[in-house]
Amino acid sequence: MTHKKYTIIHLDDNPDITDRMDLFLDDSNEIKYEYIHNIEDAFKRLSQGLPHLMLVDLMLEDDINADPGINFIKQAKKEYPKLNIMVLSNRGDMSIRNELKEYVIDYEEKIFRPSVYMEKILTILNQLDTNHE
Amino acid sequence: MLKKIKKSLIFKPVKKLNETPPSATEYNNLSKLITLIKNNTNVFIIGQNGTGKTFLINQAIKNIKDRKCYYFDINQLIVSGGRLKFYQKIVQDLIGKSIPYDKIEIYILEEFFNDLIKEINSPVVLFFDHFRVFNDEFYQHFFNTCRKIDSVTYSNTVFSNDSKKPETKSKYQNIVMVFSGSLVISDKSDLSKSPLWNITEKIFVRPHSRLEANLNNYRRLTDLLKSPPETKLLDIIYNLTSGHKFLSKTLIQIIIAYDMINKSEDEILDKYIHHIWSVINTKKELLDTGNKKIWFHFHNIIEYFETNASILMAALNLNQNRQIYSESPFEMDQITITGIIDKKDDGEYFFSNDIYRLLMAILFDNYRAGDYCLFHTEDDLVWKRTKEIYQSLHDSIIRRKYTRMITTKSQTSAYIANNIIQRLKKNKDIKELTKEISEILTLMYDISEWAIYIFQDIDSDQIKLDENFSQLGNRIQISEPVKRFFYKIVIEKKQLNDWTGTWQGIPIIIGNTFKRLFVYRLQPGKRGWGRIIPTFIKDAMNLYHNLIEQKQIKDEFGKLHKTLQEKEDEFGKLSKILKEYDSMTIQASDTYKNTEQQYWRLSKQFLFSIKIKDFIFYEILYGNKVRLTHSKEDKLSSYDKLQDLDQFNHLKDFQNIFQYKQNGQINEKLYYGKQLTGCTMSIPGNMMIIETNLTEDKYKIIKKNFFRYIRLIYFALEQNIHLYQTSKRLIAAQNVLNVSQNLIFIVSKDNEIVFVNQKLSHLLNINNEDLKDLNTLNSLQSIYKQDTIKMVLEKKQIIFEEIKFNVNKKEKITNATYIPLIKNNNVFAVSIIMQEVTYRNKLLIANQNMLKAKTTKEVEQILLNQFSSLGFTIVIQYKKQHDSDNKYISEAVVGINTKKQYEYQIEFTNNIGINVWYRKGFPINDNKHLWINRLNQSSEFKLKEDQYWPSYDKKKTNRPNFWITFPIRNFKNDVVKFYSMGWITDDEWDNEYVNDGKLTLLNSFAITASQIIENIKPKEYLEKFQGMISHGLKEPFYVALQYLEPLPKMKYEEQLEMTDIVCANIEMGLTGLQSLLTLRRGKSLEKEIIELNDILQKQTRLFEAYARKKSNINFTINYSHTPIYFLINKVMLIQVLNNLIGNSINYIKRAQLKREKKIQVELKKTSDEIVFYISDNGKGLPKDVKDYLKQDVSIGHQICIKQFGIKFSREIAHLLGGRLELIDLPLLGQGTSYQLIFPCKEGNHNDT
Repeated sequence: MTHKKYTIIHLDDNPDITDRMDLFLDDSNEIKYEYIHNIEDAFKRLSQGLPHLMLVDLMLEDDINADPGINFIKQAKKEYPKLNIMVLSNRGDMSIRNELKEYVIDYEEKIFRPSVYMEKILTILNQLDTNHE
Repeated sequence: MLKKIKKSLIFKPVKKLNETPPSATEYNNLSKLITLIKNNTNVFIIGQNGTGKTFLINQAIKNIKDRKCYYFDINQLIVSGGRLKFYQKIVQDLIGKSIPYDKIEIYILEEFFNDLIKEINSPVVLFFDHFRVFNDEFYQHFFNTCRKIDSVTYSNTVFSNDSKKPETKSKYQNIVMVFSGSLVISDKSDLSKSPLWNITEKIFVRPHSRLEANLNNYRRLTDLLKSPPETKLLDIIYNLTSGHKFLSKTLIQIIIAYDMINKSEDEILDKYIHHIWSVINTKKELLDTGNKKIWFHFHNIIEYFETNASILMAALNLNQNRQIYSESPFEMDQITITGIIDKKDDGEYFFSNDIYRLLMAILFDNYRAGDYCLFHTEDDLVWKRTKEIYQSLHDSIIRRKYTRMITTKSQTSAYIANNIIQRLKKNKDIKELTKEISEILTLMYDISEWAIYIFQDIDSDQIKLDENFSQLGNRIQISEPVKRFFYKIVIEKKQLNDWTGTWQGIPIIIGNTFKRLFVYRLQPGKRGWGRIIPTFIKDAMNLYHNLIEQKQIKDEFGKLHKTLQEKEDEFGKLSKILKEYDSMTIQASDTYKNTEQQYWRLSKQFLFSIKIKDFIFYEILYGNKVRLTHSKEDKLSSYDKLQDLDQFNHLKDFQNIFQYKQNGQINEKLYYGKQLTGCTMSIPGNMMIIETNLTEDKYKIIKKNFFRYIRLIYFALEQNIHLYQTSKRLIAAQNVLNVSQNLIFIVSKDNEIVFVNQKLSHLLNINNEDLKDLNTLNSLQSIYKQDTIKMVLEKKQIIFEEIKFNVNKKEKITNATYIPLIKNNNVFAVSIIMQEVTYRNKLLIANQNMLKAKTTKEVEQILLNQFSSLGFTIVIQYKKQHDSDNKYISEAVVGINTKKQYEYQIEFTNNIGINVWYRKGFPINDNKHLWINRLNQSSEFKLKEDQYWPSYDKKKTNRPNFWITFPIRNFKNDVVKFYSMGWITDDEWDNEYVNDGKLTLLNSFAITASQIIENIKPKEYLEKFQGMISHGLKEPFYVALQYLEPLPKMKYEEQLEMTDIVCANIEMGLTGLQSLLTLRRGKSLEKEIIELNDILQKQTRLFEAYARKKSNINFTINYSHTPIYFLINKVMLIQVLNNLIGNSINYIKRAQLKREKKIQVELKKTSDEIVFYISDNGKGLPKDVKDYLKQDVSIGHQICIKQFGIKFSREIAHLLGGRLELIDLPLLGQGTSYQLIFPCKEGNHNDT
């Protein structure tokens, strides 16, 4: 098995989305993609080691409330200050963006195709890499 | 080049380079700097941006051991927090004091310098880096502060203002300052003239020589390439950067990042500029450290052009003509200092390197140069140049674009439009203004045809073209349709397009009056500027109109004004008295009458003093009474007694002439050798007539001047009369105010209370006659709101505000109106009229606030606040715990500081709202009698003995013995919440707050509050419902979008599976879309008759396919045997079903089960119920969700339900008249089963 350069974890309650990303990134030489569907498992996974980037959906537990995702991000950042989080959500409310500004490195609305995703994620990962030098 | 750059803005990160050791020149500069510091000399390091000034400072700080060094980055501190923060930081670091933001300014002015002398006991160096003068105010202030630091810490020496050279200071000097900056001069200020220039020695930092630059670049490249670079590459770097340190460094970074080592000079330059352009167009937050530095460097450069007109002009000239004209307005040094432009030995100017040259060429190419100029439209030369650029664009085929690539500051078109208006304001001549507006319309807004119409008389169809302005002559025929179009704009007072869509009309309205109509031909496809055209037109027309009006006024009143100006000295005496009048306050009103007489007298003295020795001054007063004064032989007689006008025939005749004259209009008449001159005054019937015995010839000679004097007297007297009338009105008003039922007081502009009406005097027990007593009101801070009074005095506006104050421990709440009392356009006093807010008012206001509330939480908060303001000292909000019993628990407590949760068991039996309770065992004492007496025998509010709380105990004085319960009922009339309001101690309740009448009001209020909360609930649901549908719409389309992108090497079966997922998601999205469309305003809660089997079939079909194909779930649906017609809201029902079935699929497909995954949906109808069963055989629900589903829905517990939309589905089901329940024994043996139940009666479709 080849060693991949970056690990990303995707927290999204919709398996259709994570399945698709998994399929797409399966062939990537650089990114190891892991997905998780609920907050409890997400914390368990983080306790085993931090990824290079974590993608987080906000509407995690029902269709009307973004609080679970927001609370997860705040709690995860509190426990793991070095964790890099990027929001992927179809909630683009300005109030939420502002609230999460200090916790996340990027905020994208779910409008991308997987290939566009990958390009964006790679750019961020490369930048994070450079900043760490 | 530009187009290429625009297409792709992707750039590479650049690697950090190691710092090279100081070059020989840098080393020399460093030695010089350290020596100067050692000699106690202040230093100014001046050099281009990015030539290593900060490097020099850092090296100095490392090397100075015998002085403590402080470093301040001026630019960073000013940008992040402003100048006060900057000073705060200096004080904090130097003195160790933390001065609050609002006090720092005063501190710097006063104590700072004393503290410096006290605290700085050993030598220090203050480094002020990144000095950039764009702000004159800060520049002046900071320089003066530095100068003062320098002089106060300069012991035993007096600093000379004339000193041109820095003096070597004594050994006692403790503070040395080092300044460093790239651009040190702003447009208006000149550093060489500033105080700082005189107290500093200068070190000029230049770009590296070729040798030094090559040596540095050699080191850098060798480090990066691990082998020495070729000389050719070193030459290229030097050629492009001219030894500029920052540019050299970044050029190397970019050569390495893009692997350009073997490329030509042109290719490297292109790549470099391409990179820069991409970086400066990216958000800086997204950049790595190296690129961030590039971003800052080049944004600074752009900022120079946006803030300094001279530099902009120089760069434009160089860019276009490759030279700068000798008459160029800027001072040369400031340009060379920025580093973008340099000066050769022969005095010719050039771009200091190819990088800046190319960057400027891109910035200022023909498309945007004009826009850059517009930043400085207030500068006359730049404005001229702007118009030249636009004219050249206008003459050529090239059209300007409407957006600018680089925008760093003040970038909006509105900002520029505002600049243009400011520019227009400079025109004081109508012709020049119209010419300039025309040029702007043609050149900048690309409008070539327009016209201005004046409506001479709107009613009589007289429309006239403004020939001074219009740019199409008479080409528009004012036909009937055109006229209708024009009138429509006039009537609707808004801009409109004509019926062809090619012309737009903009009404010019000044104040509230329609003044002109501006009509222009619309430019198809124009964006950007086009959006602000109407605003520009309105502003420009306003200026135009003002100029016209000013001209008219000037023409009309010019001569009179001039005369008055000429005689100002003579008029001085009268003016002085006028001023005295102005400063009078209201309490002096009694003296007005005397003053008025004195004023007339002085007028006559004035007449006397202007050498008309022989006259009679008649005052014809109201009621045809005449008062007269003589002047004869240098003596002025006193007033004669009042006489009747009938006795003076000549005056009567003269008075008749004035019958149709305006007040103040002077007339004359020769009457048997007597000259009568005079005018009427504004008080009806009053006239001033001056009789002289001059001959006609003599009169003619003095007539002109004489009229002027009379006019002066007239104006002076008129003002006096106005004042007199004002005072009379005030006295009359005082009488009215005195007997008013409102609470009123008046404060003069000197902040003295000059009047308090009877009611307020009585209430506060003060003596209205005693001014000292009055002003004790000042001490009642709660009434006397100085800030509000100040605001009324300044703004001359009426202000409404609530005033609360305590009288005899009771709180009075009033709605106060602050009214400015105005005289001669000045506010001389403020009247404060306070209307007491009654119990009824308070409830009415609370009611209005509740109606505005959007959530039940807001209503509850309003209620809590309101009860406190009604005088209850303890208010507790309780909510019901279970449907089955009468237990309530406290949710919120106001009045006592406790976190304790109270439980209260109480039964609300009666149907009315409120109940009044007393503690069990409370002895029949005076208080209770008083209470009983307050409530009439016939009152519906009977005092009830409570059975729940502990009995009365006289030792326990800190708990309520009497209280009122205020219930909130749901639509079934069940009490879901209630408020308990009482008084902590017994003596508190014995007050006027409760009586039969007030309890009746409170009771009505309780019923209204319940109704309002019931009305809000559906709205809350509706909002959530809309949110859910919106998410339900986006998510499936997003999933579908993801699956549309094919993967390489995908098998046919996999492609089919993907297609299924895409189809299922699009169908889900369509259902959401359908719901959204149905959810029109007002339609969202409507019901309709639907067949439930049909609905179930349609809704489950897509889930069925999806579940089976994607997740291998065995999905079964059992329909009812017979059709079921039901009256219900279809959209909501579908959404609940979708939610429940969708959640089951989501939940089970993630579960790892060994058994076959199953979902079953079933519809059944019994005689009195319709039931949907939704079951899965998954792992079952978590305990908290199960517990939640067992509670009553109307109690509305705020627990966190970690399950998809169940909480919401349940609430919607409740809203639809049904209920969602969990079945204890799952229908599929394992997992979860819900039942969605709607009660119905056979044959009755309406029973939902």
